[in-house]
Amino acid sequence: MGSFKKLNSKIYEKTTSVITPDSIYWKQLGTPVLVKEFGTVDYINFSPVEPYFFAVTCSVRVQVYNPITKLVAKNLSRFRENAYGAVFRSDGRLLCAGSEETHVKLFDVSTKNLLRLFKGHSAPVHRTYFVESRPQIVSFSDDKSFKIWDIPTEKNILSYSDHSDYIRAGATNSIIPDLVLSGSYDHFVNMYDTRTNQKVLSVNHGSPVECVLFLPSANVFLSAGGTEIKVWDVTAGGRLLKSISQHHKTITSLKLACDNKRLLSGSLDRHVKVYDISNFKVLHSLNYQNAILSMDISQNNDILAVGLIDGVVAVSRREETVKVKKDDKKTISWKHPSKSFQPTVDSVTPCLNHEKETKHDKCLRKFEFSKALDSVLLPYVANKTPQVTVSLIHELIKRRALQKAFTGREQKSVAQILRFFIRNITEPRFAKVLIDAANIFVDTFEDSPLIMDPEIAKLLLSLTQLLKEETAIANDLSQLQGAMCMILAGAAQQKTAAVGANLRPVHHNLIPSIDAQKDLIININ
Amino acid sequence: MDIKVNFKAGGSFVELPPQFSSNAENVYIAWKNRILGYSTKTGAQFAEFRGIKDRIVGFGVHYYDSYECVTACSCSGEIITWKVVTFFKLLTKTIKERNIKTFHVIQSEGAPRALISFKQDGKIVFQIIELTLEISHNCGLTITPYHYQVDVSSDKYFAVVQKLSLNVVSFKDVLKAYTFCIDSPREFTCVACHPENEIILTGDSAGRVVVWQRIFTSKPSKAVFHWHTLPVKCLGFSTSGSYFYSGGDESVLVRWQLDNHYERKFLPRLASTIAQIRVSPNNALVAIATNDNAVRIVDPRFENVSLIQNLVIGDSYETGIVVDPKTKALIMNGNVGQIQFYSSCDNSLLYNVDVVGQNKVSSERNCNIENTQVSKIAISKNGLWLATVESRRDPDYSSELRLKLWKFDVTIQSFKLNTWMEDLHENHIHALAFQPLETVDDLKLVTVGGDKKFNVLHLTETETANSKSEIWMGLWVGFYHDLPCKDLSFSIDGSLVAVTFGNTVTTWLPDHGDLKCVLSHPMCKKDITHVEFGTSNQCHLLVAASSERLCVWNLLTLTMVWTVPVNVSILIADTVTTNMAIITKDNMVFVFAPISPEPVFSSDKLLKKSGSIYAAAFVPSRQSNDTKLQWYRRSPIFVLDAKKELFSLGADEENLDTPREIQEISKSLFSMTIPQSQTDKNKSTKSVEHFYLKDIGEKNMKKYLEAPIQTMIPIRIMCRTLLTSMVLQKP
Repeated sequence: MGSFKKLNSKIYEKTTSVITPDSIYWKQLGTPVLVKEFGTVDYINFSPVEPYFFAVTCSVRVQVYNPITKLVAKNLSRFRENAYGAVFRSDGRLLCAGSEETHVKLFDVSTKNLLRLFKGHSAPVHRTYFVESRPQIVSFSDDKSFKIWDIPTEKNILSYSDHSDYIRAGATNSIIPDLVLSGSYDHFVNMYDTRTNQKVLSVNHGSPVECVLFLPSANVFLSAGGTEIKVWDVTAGGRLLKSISQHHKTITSLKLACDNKRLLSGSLDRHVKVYDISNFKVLHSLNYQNAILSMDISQNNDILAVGLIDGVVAVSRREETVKVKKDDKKTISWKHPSKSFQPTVDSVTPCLNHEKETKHDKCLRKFEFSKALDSVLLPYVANKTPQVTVSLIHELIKRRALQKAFTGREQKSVAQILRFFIRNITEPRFAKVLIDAANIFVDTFEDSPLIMDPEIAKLLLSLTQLLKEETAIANDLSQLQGAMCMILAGAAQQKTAAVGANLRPVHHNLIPSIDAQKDLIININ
Repeated sequence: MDIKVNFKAGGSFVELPPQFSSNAENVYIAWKNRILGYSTKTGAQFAEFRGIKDRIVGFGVHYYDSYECVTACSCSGEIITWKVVTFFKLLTKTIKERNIKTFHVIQSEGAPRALISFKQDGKIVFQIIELTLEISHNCGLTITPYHYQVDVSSDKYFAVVQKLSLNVVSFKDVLKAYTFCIDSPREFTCVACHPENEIILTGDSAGRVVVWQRIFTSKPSKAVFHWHTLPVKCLGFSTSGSYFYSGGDESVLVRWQLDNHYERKFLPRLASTIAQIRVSPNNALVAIATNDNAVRIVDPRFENVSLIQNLVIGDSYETGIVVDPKTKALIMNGNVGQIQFYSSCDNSLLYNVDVVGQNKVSSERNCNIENTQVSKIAISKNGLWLATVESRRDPDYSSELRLKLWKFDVTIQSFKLNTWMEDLHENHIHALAFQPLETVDDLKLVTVGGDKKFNVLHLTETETANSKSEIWMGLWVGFYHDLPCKDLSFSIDGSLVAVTFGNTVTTWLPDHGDLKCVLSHPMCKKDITHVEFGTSNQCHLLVAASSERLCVWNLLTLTMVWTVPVNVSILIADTVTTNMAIITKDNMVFVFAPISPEPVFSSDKLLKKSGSIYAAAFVPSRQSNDTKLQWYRRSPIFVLDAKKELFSLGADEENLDTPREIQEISKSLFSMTIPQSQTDKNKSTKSVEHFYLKDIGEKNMKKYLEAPIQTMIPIRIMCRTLLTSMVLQKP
């Protein structure tokens, strides 16, 4: 009468994230190739011209890598102390870098020659940038100032020292070259106009600024520091548009990608997150094995290079899957009736498409419990979709049929069941059902000679060992939870006490001291 | 006060086998003290034969004076024969024997006869009575007064099974009884006689069907048909007798061929266990009566023809009665894993919703299998969200507890699953309630569990870059001093939630989880099981009830207002008025307003007969907005009792007894020549008379309708002149 309801394995399914076009796009980047460097990677910058070489600044040198071979193409090592923040000019020919030795150095990439040496800072220079369409360089230094240098004359044109702490972030704008942003560890981001020589804008980020970034139109800029990215509107006089906090550790780098439609942020929490620039919602997240210090993506979005704290550069390249289109062959077969034929009969019985019934559903419908269990213990099902196996086991427990399904099995099949238990019993979503199933298993095979089999015995021992470890972990965790509860309860109590102090009249529990009691004055009117 | 108990619905529909009319177009079903006639093609009810006072113990369809008639007999011996075409009573008769147990009409050519059995002097006696005459013949068969089953084979013989014995009596020689026995532990459960031949089928507790032949000899021949694992509950022979049907607790109908027991056909997964089977006289249809109070009509190929469904009777009524605010339907447990929407206005089943979505598993011979049941229901104030709790208590292994949240989809006009949560609480969910807000965003749901905690869930939106969807998420968990919590109630504006913990009542802010106050009194010692907020002008009052007392708290002064020692089993609050009602353990009903300890209504007699009360609810009636009416006319109390019958405590309703319009079901040639409506040209047509003359009231009406709203005098002042202008004025 009623149709047979299929086994519902969704209860035990993993919650999967929804597949979006963006996640597919970013997953194409594939697994990164790891290149080991000496010291921590301070900065990565892609050359804006093909074939998109990228410069990795770490310890006392700047290395220019070929993104395809992932080999060092050029090695600029004319630094006595640590080099910092090497960037390419927009034509990819020149490269400038700051250094620990307080100088800013300008190199010719192809010949590796040092072309200019800008002296004037009194502390290490961490970030340097070319000014677009002008022969100028901006350098941001730990001496709390930043300077603009003229390349031909090697002279300092302008110098600003409004900040009260190290300046570790800066940006120039390609459309309006007169605007310069500086972000400092004093929490402030300042914007300067070199035409008026003045500070135009100053905003408080709230934590040491690690990175600043202009959006291309120059009326919005972003600052990153602490666990937040803040979006500021320049035209509204530095109004805070949005505050994004998706990372749980300090954000170290920001980059634009996909024709400025996406924003990438790298953080010490080992994630690179991709945001939609229109609403700043996270679209995708990439994981790395260590804290991220710097990150850059090539202009065609194909190569993502991420510098990690342990000196590893992870370079991932988009793998284009070329779809081979098959020619539509003419299908001539009895299975494919020609479409030109029009039936001229009185009544046509439509071909009913019956819903496909899985093997275990069919067996369940026919009460063949043992067969149903067999069908879900097949390695393909048990490994790929363990939730189906678990939900069938649950159904069998519910029908009081698992014991019957267990009995009469051969050594191989019993080993299969045990292996499934070992693999899945610690999974929280399966644990409840599988613990019951394991109990039934033990009840069933208690007296069976099968457990004397060396392989089965070994598996049983390892299952016991696993469960012991699991209970030990659970114990530890509940102890930790208890400790945390104490702290939380303490905090909550303090809060209520504080609130109470404001609201309630203050009672004291002082009793008059002996002296006070003695100090007796009787008024006699 | 004229408050009466009105029977609404429920009660078994399938205690007696349904009977077909001779052409199989109609099927008759006995329900309490009436016979209902349904069309087999459409499943629509066309007739209701009333007149018998007590419970009907048997009825039959037969011919009398070449009219098709229905004859029914009550347990007190009242026999009425109705003519099917006209619904007139042809015969009424009262036999002197009381305590009638069974009644079977004997199909024969001559004067109508019937076989009755009744209890007399501690024994069951069988008797054949003439329906038209005052003649009765005693049979030579008496049995002990235990459970027994009777079946009659047209006018040839009848068979009785009881425990280990099968008794056959021929109508030709009623004094001689043939008795056959089987060995224990098997026991007979049901019997069916071949319509013509001397073949008897018996079902037994081991699930076997035994075919008995040559029954009027001392050594009958037996053949065993065994498929059922559980006891066979019912059997039915086809008219020609070449095959038969059997059914039982497996919810599978089996069709057997009499000459070959390998040839069988199954109709599996019926909604409930099978109670009765009847084959139509022309072999065209089979009626399967299932224990969910439904009769399914199928054809011999087991294709569905129609379904006759009354109030679904399930195994549990744990959810109680919840009123759907949109349709005013009662939401209750239905079939296993389903809930039913039952309209109280027209006493009809609206629809069922399958909540659990799992196959019903029937028990096996020596192990009882628990199915997942719906244990709690809550519906939001706008009727858009439905929360269901389903649970399966497993005595040996881990239990199931699942909360599902359904959203009403306007396009498909049904509830769609939105969110489900596994094991929200550790043991059981005692109560759950939605925040009573009309707005949809940030709605909250509170569940009170058996793990001494309550959970607050809220409706949020999950947003990915491409899609937005609504989802329910946990907000916070509350507990108080490791005390068990039992019930909760939201204040009328949803800003405060009261949760009972042990013998105290706590109130919390649902948004942040701040504890606002804790109410306890040394007089309250037992755990509080029910809590309700007052409504409208009594919204500051909180009513808490336990098994020893009912107390009302004022939340403004944090004091107890009044308290009464009473053992409360059910506390319900009305949504229309400020009234609340309690039903005590000994079935006393008190209706009161929280503001005063003086009850609005109390009665200890109304529910005296009902046995224990499973659930109760105030159900707003059609006139619920008329504030002038008494409370019981605006929202009567619906009560579900242990017999699974639905009653209302309200005004006396007579509309149930108004005779239905008699439809002409005769299809004779002559009747077709009679026109449906007739006009008589001789009659003069009367002009239509209006209630008021146009001119007189017009001026006042205009004043009322056309005046600008801001200049109008209050309606209560205008009302009188307006109404008097509309009163019929004789010229």
